[in-house]
Order: sequence, then C-alpha cells, then structure tokens
Amino acid sequence: MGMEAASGLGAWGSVAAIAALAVLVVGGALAVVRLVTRILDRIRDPRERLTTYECGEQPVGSAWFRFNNRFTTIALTFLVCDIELALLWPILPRALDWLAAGEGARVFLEVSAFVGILAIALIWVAARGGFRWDREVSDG
Amino acid sequence: MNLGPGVDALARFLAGPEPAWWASALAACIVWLGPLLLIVLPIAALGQIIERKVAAAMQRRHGPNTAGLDGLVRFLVRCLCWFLPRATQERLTARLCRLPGMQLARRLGLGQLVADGIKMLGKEDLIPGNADGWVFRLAPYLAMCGALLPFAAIPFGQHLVALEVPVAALYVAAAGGLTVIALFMAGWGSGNKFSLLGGMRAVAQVVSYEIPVGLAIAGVVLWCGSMDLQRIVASQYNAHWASFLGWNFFQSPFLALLAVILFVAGLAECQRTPFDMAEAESELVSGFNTEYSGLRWGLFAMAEYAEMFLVGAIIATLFLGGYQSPFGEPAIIALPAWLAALIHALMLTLKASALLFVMVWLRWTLPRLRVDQVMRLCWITLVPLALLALFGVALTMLAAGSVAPGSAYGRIPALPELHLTPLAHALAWVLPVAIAALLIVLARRQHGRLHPDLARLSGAGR
Repeated sequence: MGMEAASGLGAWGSVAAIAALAVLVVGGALAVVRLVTRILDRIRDPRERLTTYECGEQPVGSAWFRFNNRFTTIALTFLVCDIELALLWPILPRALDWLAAGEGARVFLEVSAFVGILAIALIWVAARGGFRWDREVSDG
Repeated sequence: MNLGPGVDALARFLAGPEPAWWASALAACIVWLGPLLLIVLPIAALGQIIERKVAAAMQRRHGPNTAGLDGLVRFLVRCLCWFLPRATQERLTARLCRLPGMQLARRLGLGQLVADGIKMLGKEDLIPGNADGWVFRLAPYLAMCGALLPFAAIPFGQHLVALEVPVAALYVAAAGGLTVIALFMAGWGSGNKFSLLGGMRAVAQVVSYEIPVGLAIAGVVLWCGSMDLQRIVASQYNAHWASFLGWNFFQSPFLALLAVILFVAGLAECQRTPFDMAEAESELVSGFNTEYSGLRWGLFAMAEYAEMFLVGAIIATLFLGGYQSPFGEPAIIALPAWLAALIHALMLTLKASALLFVMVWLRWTLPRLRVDQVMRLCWITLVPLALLALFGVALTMLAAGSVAPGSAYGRIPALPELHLTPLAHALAWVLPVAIAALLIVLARRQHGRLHPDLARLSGAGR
C-alpha cells in the first residue's frame, strides 16, 4: 500500500490515460463519420443503387452460374499434392538424425519413391493437358 | 508469471526480478502486439502510398502525392481554437505550418494518407441486394486475419515473437491459407458474375501456388532440421564478421533456387502483377472485390500489402538470416537485450521492405500474364523445379553426410547442423551450377537460342 507503488502506477496511468484519450477522440470522430454515412444511406432510395454491377447494364440472370470444369482438375491435383506435403513435412525435421545415424541413403530412397509416384501422377495430368487452359482437355 | 521467455525477460527488465502483474501485462502487450502494431499495420496502411510513390517515380511524374498537412492543421485550429479571433487563428496556423516536420510531410505527401483514410471511412458501405449477406460481410475481415495471423509466429528478434512453437513454419503456411477462403467468400457472396469468375480464378491460382510455396519451405526445413522458425534463424548464424555467409541463400544453389521460387509463388499468392488475373480490370472490372466499397474494400487493400510484407518476412526468415544483421552479427548479439531486439526488428523490417519494394517494382515493369500462362507457370515450371531443387538439397545433404553440433546463438542453444567442409561447400556450389550450365548449352544446341515454347510465348518465332 506504499506511495511508491501508487506513483509508479500513476506514471504509467497518465500515459495510459493519454493513449485512451487519443483512441477515444480518433475513434469518436470515425464513429461520427460512419454514423452520418449510415443515416445518409437510409435516407436515399436504395433500389437502384443496390443492383448488381454489370457495367451499367441491367443484370441478366443469376450470378451463380456454371463455370468451366477445368477448375476441378486443378482442385483434385492440388488436394493430392497438398496431402503429399502434409505427409512429407513431419518427417523432414528428422532427416539430420537419420543422417547422423547413417541411415540417410535408405530414408532418401524411401521418401524419393513416395514423392516420385506423385511426380508420375503430375506428369500424367500434364500430358493429358490438365494444366493447358488454352485448350480443351483431351480424352486419350 | 510464465508468459514465455520474451515477455518474462522484458517484465523483469521493466520492474525488477519479481515483476508486478501490470509489468507482465505491459511486457506481453509489447512483445505480442509491438511488431504487429508498430511495423506490420503501418506498412499495410502505407502500402498504397508506397505503391503510388514508386509508380510515380518510375513514370517520372509527381503523382497525387504532394499533399501536405497544412489544410488539416488549419481545420484543426479552426475547430479547437474557435474562441480566438480569426487573425490569431491564421497566425497560429502559419506558425504551426512552419514547424520542421511540416516540410517533410509535404515532401512525403502525408496529407494524401489522411485524406485517403477519411475518404475510405466516409464512403457508403454498399451491400448489393443480390449478395449473400453474411458471407459478403465476413470476407474482408477473414482476408485481414489471413494476412495478420501468420505474423504471430515470425520472430522479429530473440525475444520478439508472440507464438514460439516447434511447428511455426507449418502454422505460418496454414494460417496464410485463410486468405483462400476469404477470396472465395468474396467472389461467391457478392452475387456478381465478375466477382464469381474473379473469385474462382483467385482460388485456383492461390491454391496452385501453395504447392511451390510448401515445397520451398520444405527445403529449408530439411536443411535446418527444424520447423521452428526461431531455430531456423539461429541455424543461419555465422560467427564470422561477414555474418551473411551463414544465410541459407548462400549455402547451396538449390536453396537459392528455392528462395527465388518462393518469391515468385509468393507474388502469385498475393495476386500481384504479373499474376493479377483475378482482378484483371480489363476483363473482370475488379474481380472478387468488384462489389466492395469503403472500409471493406480498404480491408482487402490493406490485407494485400500486409500479405506482401508477410511474403518478404517469410523469405527473409527462411533464406536471408531472419532478423540477423548481414555484418557484425556476433557484436550485435552481445549488446544489451533491448538494444539487440531493436536492431533485430529493424533488420527484419528492412529485409522484408526491400522485398516488398521489388514486388512493387515488378508490378510497374512487367505486363500481366494470361490466365492459362499463370497456371502453366505454376504446374509445368515451378512445381517440377521446386521438386528438383528439393531433391538437390537432399542429395547435397547425403553427399556431405556428416552432422556436427552448431554454435549457440544468443538464448538459443547449439543445435546439430549439417557439417560442410569449405571444399564440400565450394563443390556444392560448383557442381550443380556446372551441370545446369551444361544442360542449358545442350538445350540451346538442340533447340536454337530459345526453346520453341518460350519462343511461342514471347512471339519471337513469328
């Protein structure tokens, strides 16, 4: 309950008070601006302004339409590669331990086989034109 | 109180060996929020101005950046000193405008920043009638979260890190992934055809470039033997006065290649030119943020610059020695902790800002890629290249073969690291570069000066 504690807290308290004041002033000003815009939003007729923007034309049809299925190829390939990464990352930090234990070559071959199989899959997708967005995907 | 080593050390520094609760709370605020509030958010807010400045300088024009703060001072004097006579107000204004900082403010165009902020807040917050209400509203905040959350794990100094976990690298990649969801929500929720197409393109692009990013980070994790960013920084410490020799970028050409891949892929993750197909204004108006206005749009813009800074900070942390100084790091780490922390935070900020500048520079230099070119660059060039570089890193480690205890760095104890003799280090550089040069020479002999694909892309073959 000493005076020192109180004065120590008081010194910081004054800094805190100034900071709080600054926040209040700036925040208050911003709040007023937001409030005014909110009120002005309500006063004006919203029907015209709330239409979807299509370069000034009347919007035609729903915005939620079908899009090209090449996005599916990308999504599936990403999923496979991401799972590959998720399985690869946890074993990488242990590599130095295995290297110190003299098992480096064996682990390298095992992990290479794992990554290599997925690399073959990537080459297959690329050969089928899955990443060629300037052409249609071929069947053969 | 146990709030992590950084907070406890600072609390003890502020209030003696047995710190009171308020000292701990203050220390926690400084360590956890300091880098975010003092470095990241100002840079995100200043991003637009930095971009305009660079653009104006590159195009040899002034740009809209010469507004000073004089008008604001006059306005404030009018408001605060309304009781004084008008002539006194004018004299006070003139006096204040002659202050030393005001000329600098005019030079920097700080008035533009204030005006932009007020304009953004004053703009109407429009939610289209066709939009999916809460999806549309939530998206900008989620984008901001995706850009700011990863900073929690990025070390700005020995003690200046909010989240010190052994899987920090994984956390950064995962938290950064939130942006994808925000982009998709913005594109879908707007109920606009341009937004939907822009959102789909953005998602496809960001998701695709996540693979090269993940492979590049994996290379560093493999090399340093840890996912802890603090340890990755510590493992790049070199006791030589030219301490940049220890940085990962200079350890192996494969790591240098991964750094370049991470930069290119990071640029695409931020959807910056040349990879800004998602916002291609010539065909999609503004892509996923077509329907956004006012503060919500501002949050997207701020998230973009925060993300650019994040990419710079990640590359700096993984490849460019993190918060270490390029020269004389042993002397800096021996300084008092608070001074070292200041220098370290400044160093990381400088490195990340330099990379941010390169990104802005590229935007005003390079033309935009077509959407199929963006996809091909990722899957046909960057992913195989990153896989090859990862194999190269692993092969280098196998060839070096021996692990030795490293040197302790500040409060981080010595860790086992790969032991390369100077000869092996030189070979690790010379061999891959020689093989790559040989392959390039052979390819040129077979295909002529340019590969046919490249010639077609650049139109040189016609």
